[in-house]
Amino acid sequence: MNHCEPIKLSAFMDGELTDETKEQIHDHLSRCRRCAKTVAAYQQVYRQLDDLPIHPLKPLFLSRVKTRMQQHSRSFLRPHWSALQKALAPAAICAGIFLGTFLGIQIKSFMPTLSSNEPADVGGYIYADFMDTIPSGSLTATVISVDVVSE
Amino acid sequence: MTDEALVEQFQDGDRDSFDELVNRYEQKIYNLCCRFLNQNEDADDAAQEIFIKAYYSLDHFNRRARFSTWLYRIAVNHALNVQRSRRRKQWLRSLSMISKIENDKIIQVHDQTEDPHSRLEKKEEIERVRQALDRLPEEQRIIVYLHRFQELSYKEIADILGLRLSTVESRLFHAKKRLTKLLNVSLRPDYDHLTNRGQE
Repeated sequence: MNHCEPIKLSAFMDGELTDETKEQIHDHLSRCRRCAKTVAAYQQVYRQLDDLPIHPLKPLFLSRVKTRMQQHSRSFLRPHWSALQKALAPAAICAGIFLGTFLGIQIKSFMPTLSSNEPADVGGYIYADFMDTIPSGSLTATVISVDVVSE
Repeated sequence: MTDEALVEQFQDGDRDSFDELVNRYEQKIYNLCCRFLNQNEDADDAAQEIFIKAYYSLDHFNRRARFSTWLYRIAVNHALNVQRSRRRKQWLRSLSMISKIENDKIIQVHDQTEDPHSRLEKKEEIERVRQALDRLPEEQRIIVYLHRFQELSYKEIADILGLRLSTVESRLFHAKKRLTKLLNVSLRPDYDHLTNRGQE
């Protein structure tokens, strides 16, 4: 007697064959003890696998996923934000120094007019005290008192 | 409403449609993770991570494929990664100890009426089957999980894993053959019984 290919018996068990082949194997199994034994063995393996316990899913799975997603998006932003801060800090210091120096030079260029204690004609009268004491190119630690007197 | 329609809604900006997809697949994905990882907590964590990955990738999902196939692909890859990284850390904790404790808990919950002897036998049987599954090559074990525990067809498994149908068929056959030996299955020609189950 010709026996079925074991791989076909396996597919037969899983319902993966065409109806025609299924029918042929079905007929064969009723006559062939050896092939029937093979299928029975596979079937017993499946029965043992099916006996493995199924763990029930804890309730509120969706809300756990959503909470996790919120944490995920926060933790995604956090390292980027701190990296941005780290990158911007030296740039901000440099910009501050540059701006301070630039403005200091600009103010110094007004000094002959402003330091003479005479009103300057810049759209109104600007009267400044102590401008002579401002060090060249610096705005630091200087309190400037400016009175704008409209005409 | 079909999965694909929900995906379309999601891609059109309705983020809430993802909730329905989670509701549809949470138990299946969790079960798959349980099979891969054996521990409830790890499986729950892994299942959450799978859905988060899916959420952030869903905008790039090609709607010509099936959503379930795509989701299972993410799930299998993620579960395998977790399993591999856990194996690397195995020296930190004894997996079998935790697994045994889990089994005890499950059996206590489900079989409180059983006597201690049969409970112990059942526990040993579960452990034996688990160990047999663990001894299968990874590529065979995945297919057993997907076919037997997720009830997916050969075609669906082939799509998920990117394999040919004949490869799935062959790997599952070899897995069964090997499990027969590992579980020391007694061969009884109980034909009437098995043909009915074989065609279910």
